[in-house]
Amino acid sequence: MEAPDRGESDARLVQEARAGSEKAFRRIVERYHGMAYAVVRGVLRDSSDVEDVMQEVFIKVYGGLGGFRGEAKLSSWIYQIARNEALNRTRKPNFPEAPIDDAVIETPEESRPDAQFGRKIEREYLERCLGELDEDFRVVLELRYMGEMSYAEIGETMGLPIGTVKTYIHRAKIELKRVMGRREFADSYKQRDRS
Amino acid sequence: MSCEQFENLLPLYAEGELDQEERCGVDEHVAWCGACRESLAFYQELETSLASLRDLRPSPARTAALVSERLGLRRRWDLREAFASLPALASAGFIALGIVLYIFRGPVENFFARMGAGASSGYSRVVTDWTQGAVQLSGGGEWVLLSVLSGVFALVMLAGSWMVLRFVKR
Repeated sequence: MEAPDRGESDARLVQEARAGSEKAFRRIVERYHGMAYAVVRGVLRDSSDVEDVMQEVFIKVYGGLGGFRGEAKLSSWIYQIARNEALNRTRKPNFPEAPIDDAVIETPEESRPDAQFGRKIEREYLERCLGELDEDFRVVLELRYMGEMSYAEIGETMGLPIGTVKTYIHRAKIELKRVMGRREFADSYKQRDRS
Repeated sequence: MSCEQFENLLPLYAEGELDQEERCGVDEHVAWCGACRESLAFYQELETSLASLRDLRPSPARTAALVSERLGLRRRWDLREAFASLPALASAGFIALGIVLYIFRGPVENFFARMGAGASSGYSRVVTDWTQGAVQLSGGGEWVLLSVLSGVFALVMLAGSWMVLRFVKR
């Protein structure tokens, strides 16, 4: 699993960004973008608000840099901001109740490239099933696969021991299997194999 | 080991988290157990599907640009950097001017000689004195001195530029 680039230390980037370096702030955004996206998406699921909340997260990060004393890790701090921002968005009155569970999955058309379309259905289906997991399981899985973070990085970010992270991921996959249903999944990939 | 116990190892097998001994145990088991083989195929497929989630991520650079724009950071900082690079641009300009003057020293000498001819007092005299100095400089070995002075000036300007850039980046 590819780890984020840690060429410059977080402390140095924070110090430079605090002193007004846009370049350093951009490096922070780029370094923690995957993690924040996984968290925001883990909470909001496939809502159209994700991109807007992502911007709000990094605006809050920028605004809070002056008060960030480095007692917590930068990743944990950004994780908390991302999670709070996403949760706040779900509390807004106009936030859709069930953005993805009720989504209609398109039926493949013969004119479409099969492989590419099959992949799209598979991912939409996966996203629907992810939406049925407990939030902790979903966020850990998304940090691992969407954020491309190691177990240790997830543990540091969420403030969990590595063993707990591993257990969450393990249980999340077993839960996903239960949610998907063995027969339905088997049918989907057998059908894809035939095409 | 029972199927239930193997079932627990299969997600770890698919993720490549088992050691050699455990992997061999799973390989032996799924060789004859169809249900576990099917389960393993599921988890392997799941790994691929989960890995494809990263394709959904928007570009970090795009988010960074939008955030910078909303915070109004880009314009202010670009201007500061442009200001900081002024000494470097000025020294480059002086060097270029020196090269051009040296290449076209004949026409330059004639131009200044014509400009200075006939001037007798006031502003004209100042121009005359200045242009005569330019004529003398453009006429011979003083170009060597001018080049050395330009080089020193350029170095001083570059050092100043470097110090200003260091200050701005802090």
